Amino acid sequence: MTDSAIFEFVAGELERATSLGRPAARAAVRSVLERARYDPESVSAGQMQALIERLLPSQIRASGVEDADRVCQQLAAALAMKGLSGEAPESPDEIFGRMIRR
Amino acid sequence: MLGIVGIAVFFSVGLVVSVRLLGLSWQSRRLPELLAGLGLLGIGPLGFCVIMAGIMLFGGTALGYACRATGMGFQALGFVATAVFTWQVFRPGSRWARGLAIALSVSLLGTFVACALVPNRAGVMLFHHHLDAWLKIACLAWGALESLRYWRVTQNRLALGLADPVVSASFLAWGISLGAGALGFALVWVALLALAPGEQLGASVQLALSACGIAAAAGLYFAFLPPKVYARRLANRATARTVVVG
Repeated sequence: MTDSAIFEFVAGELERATSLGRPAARAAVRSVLERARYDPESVSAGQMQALIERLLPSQIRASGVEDADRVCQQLAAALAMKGLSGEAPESPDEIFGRMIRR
Repeated sequence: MLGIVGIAVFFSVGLVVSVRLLGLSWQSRRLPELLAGLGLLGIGPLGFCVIMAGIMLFGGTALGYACRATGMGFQALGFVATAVFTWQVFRPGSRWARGLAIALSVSLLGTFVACALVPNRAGVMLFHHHLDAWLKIACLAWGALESLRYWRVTQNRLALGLADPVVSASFLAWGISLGAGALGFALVWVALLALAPGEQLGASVQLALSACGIAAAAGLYFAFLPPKVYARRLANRATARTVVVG
């Protein structure tokens, strides 16, 4: 399977916004996906937004990116503006979330 | 009597949950709610009640046979719905999961027809009765394993602040419920193998069946109707355990 448009967009934007090269930018995004056990092929925009906010700043900071928080905020805003829906089917969390009485 | 307690609890909770899920599917027009509702209703309250009514009220008559066949049909459809639910919810893009769901469904419908045409006479189980039991066990066990596997995934995300603690716990509860169901069916199968023709299930088997019924009911309750106190406790515990990232 090929990586999703969401993965490609975020990795590309991260490469543009930082001094990270293409392999390092892709590896950083792939690393946070693996940590949270999401697939690059099927991650949804909402899931990627959460990863950018929670995990990506520390990941790219460790790779030497200064001002990682600002970069990630811009990345999250760019992803939201892009309006990518992704190819992900509904996740089990979304389905069970609907079926549970709150 | 011992066995009836747990099964009755399971039927009561199963009826409430399945009717609620079918109501949700009616409102949302979504397939997973419909499949889960039909699965629960068919396997539990509807299937078993019609079978039991046939045995207890019309035993030995043509109507009794019709009730038994109808109940088994409801059950078969319930198991098919459960297999398709597991595929659609946990592995929607997987070819092997689609193949397994189709194989289980076709086989279950096949053994239903075989069991209806050639019923279990004088307590002697034929090949298709054994196959039917194992298909049902496989169907429930697969759902349990997938749900428990996904619960582990959400536990990892929960520690990172990326998952809902109540939803995560519902995967554990659903897995336990299906696992208890699989265990119950396996228990009945083993017990029937050991029985002499005409002999009734022993008290210890009935007690174990009752325990499976209660475990399945508790799983359903906590998966879909979690009490507010329980949900609050899960949320508090998740907050305390969330790893501070960065």
